[in-house]
Amino acid sequence: MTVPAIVVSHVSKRLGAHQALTDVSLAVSPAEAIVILGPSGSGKTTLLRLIAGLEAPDTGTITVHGVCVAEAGRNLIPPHERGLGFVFQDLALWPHLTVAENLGFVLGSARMPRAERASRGQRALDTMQIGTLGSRYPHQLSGGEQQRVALARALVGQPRVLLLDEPFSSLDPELRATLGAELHQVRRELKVTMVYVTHDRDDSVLADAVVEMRGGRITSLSNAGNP
Amino acid sequence: MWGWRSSRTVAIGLAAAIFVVSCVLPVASFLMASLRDATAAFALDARQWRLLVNTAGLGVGSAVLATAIGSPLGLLLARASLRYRALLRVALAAPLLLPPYVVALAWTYLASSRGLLATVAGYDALAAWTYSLPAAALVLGLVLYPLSMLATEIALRRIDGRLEEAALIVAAPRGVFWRITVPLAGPGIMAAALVIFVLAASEFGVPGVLRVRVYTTEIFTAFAALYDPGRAALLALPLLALCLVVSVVAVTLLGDRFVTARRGADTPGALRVERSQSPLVMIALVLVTALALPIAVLMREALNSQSIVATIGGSGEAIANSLRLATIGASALVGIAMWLGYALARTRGGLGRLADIGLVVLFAVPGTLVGVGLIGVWNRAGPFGALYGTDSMLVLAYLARLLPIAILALAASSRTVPLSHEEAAAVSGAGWLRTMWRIVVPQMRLGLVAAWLIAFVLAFGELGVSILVAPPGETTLPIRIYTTIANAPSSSVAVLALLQASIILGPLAALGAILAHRERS
Amino acid sequence: MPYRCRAALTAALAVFTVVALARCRGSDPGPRSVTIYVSTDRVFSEPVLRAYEQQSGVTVNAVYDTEETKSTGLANRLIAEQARPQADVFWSNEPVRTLVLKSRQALAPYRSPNAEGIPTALVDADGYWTGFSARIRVIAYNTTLVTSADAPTSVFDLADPRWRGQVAIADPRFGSTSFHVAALYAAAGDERMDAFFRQLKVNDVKIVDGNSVVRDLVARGEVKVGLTDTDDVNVAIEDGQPIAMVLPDAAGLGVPVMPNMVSLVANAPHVEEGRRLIDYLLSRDVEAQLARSAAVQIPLHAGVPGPRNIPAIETFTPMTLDFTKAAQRVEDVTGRLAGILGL
Repeated sequence: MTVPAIVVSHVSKRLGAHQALTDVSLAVSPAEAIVILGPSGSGKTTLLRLIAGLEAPDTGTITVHGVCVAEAGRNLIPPHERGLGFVFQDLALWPHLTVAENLGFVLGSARMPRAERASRGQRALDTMQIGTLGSRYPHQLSGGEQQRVALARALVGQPRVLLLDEPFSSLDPELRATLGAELHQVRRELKVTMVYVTHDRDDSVLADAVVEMRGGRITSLSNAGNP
Repeated sequence: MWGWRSSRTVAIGLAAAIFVVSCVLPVASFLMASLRDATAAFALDARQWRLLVNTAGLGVGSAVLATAIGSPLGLLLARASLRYRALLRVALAAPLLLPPYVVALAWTYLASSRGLLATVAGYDALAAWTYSLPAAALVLGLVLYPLSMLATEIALRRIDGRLEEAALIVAAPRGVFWRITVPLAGPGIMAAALVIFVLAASEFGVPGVLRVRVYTTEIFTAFAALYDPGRAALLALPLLALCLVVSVVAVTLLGDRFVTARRGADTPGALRVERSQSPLVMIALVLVTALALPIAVLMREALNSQSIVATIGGSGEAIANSLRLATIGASALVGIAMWLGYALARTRGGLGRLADIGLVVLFAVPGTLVGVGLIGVWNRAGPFGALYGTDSMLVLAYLARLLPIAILALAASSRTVPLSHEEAAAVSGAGWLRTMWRIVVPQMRLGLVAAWLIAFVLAFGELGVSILVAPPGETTLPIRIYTTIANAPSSSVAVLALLQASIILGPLAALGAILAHRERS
Repeated sequence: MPYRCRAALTAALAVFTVVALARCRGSDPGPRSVTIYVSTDRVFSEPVLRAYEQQSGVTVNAVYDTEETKSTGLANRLIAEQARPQADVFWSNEPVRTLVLKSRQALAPYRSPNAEGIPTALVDADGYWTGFSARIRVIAYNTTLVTSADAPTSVFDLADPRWRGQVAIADPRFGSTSFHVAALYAAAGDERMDAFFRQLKVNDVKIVDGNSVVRDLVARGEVKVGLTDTDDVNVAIEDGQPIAMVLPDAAGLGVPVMPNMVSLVANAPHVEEGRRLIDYLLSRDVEAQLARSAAVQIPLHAGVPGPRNIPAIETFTPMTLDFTKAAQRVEDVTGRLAGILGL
């Protein structure tokens, strides 16, 4: 039996006075792409952050590739040991590092030789069609270019799971469609599990499954094309 | 975005005019008049080069030590779960209130051959170190570390937590701290180190007590022993050149790569210092060494005073003057520097860096030159002369001395406000003044409060310029203290130093409580 | 920021600005006032000036000075203000400042009738300054470490190897010490004095911030002896510290005597009040007051009771001094000593 890539089991989370998540359970198969859909405040970003290990659940457990990474009240495995890639909503590109250095930071954490780091980073940039931008700083790039850098950075470490928090929300429809398609192609080639959070139903077209959330709960779960 | 005829031009132009008149003009007029009258060709001899090296060593040593102490404390204040954080912040910042000269005296009471340590140990354990350059750097480091601490705390609080979170996904916290957090906080820490360098390099009271030969004494000698302003002006140039070199290095290292970092709203730093014994031990160690020990030593001396009441008596008016004038001065400083800091922050590239360097060099001008320059500018018939002889001259003294550093501090604060926020306001129909008041200034409030506090402390303790322009018949507390201790027992010196520190601690503690309340709410 | 907070802040700023500006004030409100710059220690001079205020009804606006190594002093302020003087009178506790001001034409001549009886050597022939209430340069010693029989009796004794590492002097570039060394150079000659200071350097002399620091080091026993002024030592004696003093070179060059000096400032705003204040300062009453005070200053008028513990000026041989010559040597001596002592 295939071990699920991600299992979220009866997870709840309170943020201050707000109950962000209530008894959420979810399983994602390896190499599966799921979209978590919901309006603002539905808890989808919180769920993503719990999977990443940036927060700890109040109740329940989270498992990544068969390993329990979090249980009630604490993270058992820190974020950098979970084999993840994360694209933040505001991209979070490190402003003091060049594009190449942003990717190099990820590879340096994997204790890779410098030469291999450089070539792997360049390949990642080429894959996202920004191979010539390595020496630039984030503030010198256009919005679309920054998005591509964020994606390249998330993928360059060859994560097993890719988490995306509304990555294309600030882009025009044409660029969104282009990047979305490129993303899914890369994902399939690399066989990466993907969890994609959005409030836009149009983003769900390339997903294998769609999870809808509202008020901190999952309200529906459907396979793509089978609502 | 903002046209030439907008209120921006008027406001910044007015602030710039005040800056030029109050700060640049005194220095420029003094240098021009003195250098014109300077008779001899000027070259540093070997002895003076050695003194300049000593001064550079004192500046670097003080800056390094202050940063080594202050930055970790700033990290704790910004990222550790601390009970009574506001109280700790005030206590840790309190050494800045002690006059450096007096802390140097306390050090000698402690460490000299007949001091407390020698008495307890039975021998002179610190014989070679009591009066030395490292001791002077230690004293200045212990007095000035709060500048580094506050700058570090502010810099860390400004970091977008998402940037650290993004790094935590792929790297262990230690790697994230050194590769992401420290470089992002670096500009603020470096700027504070630069200010500490200039303050230490300009200092001659502490080296005087600890018998360290420094270059600033040469400038002082030209005035106080030789009454030769021309010579003093010439001698000031190498000191200004030293500060110029250091600031060019610092500004070049800082660059402006970080200035466009977007700051996430309500995204605190992701890296936290876990609760453990180590931070508390460090805080306790610093408080004991930098605050409790000097105060204890001073109190021991003060108790030897045969008449504490007589020593303090008559200081009421001086205390009130100092509080009033330091409050006015700090408010004026922040009020003017806010506009110029904003303008500097919005100035890109080479021109912005040049302005940064110019401000550092202006700040490095010895207080005596500034004071004599102020007299030259303001002591004349006409509207300028109407202010001379009033206590407005003391406020002008604070402006002349401290505006450069206030502008630099508030430029750093302005840089954290994204230009897009102003653009959004402009597009929404708001004029520049309204944008500043409703959008930019609220986002700078932490920096404004910190700048006001530091300006208040520095203005309160200012002596070198004040004594030259204070109106006859009126005095500030530092002037009263230093004119009284000219022939007073060391016990009386201790009493008055403790008085000065305690007077200023009150308002700062109140301000700290207000800040704490705002933090909680 | 909520609107209420902004409105409150704006209102507070407006009130603050009005109050602050209303409180800015000058220092010459009364119809009769005089401004004096005082380089004599405040603890001694302030009571004298307060007494004058009470007696005359004239408001005295005084500006006091710090120790010479703490700031560049009022002499520089007077020079800077020459184009538009604020001060009427200058009261100095050592000659160099006054003589520099005279050379810069910052003073005006005034011969007070109360100068009658003051030795002519201590009154400027041109009338620009008048001496009164003198101090003496003394050798202070710690009474628990040095007996009175063993205490040095001459400045030149301080270079004796038996005092190695046990001698403190104030920085000879500033204040009364600068005048003292300049006077020694003028009296004893450059060769002898250069050799003396070289030997002091070999003897590991401690060069400190000021005369009061010398006194403190001696009183604490960190050094056994030091060169300082009578008023500094007397403050410590009154404070119960183990210190005493010797009048140096009574049998040689003579004891260095430094008078206070008072002068009228050139183009003073209140000339008549300035003259009256000078008359007061030169009075026998003031000399008696300063003699009785912790300043223990020696009256120059004959017949005025002197301070206890300090010999009357008639009982010892003062150093013969040409103040002008001594003051002219200051710059040159400062340069020499910077090199010899490694300052």
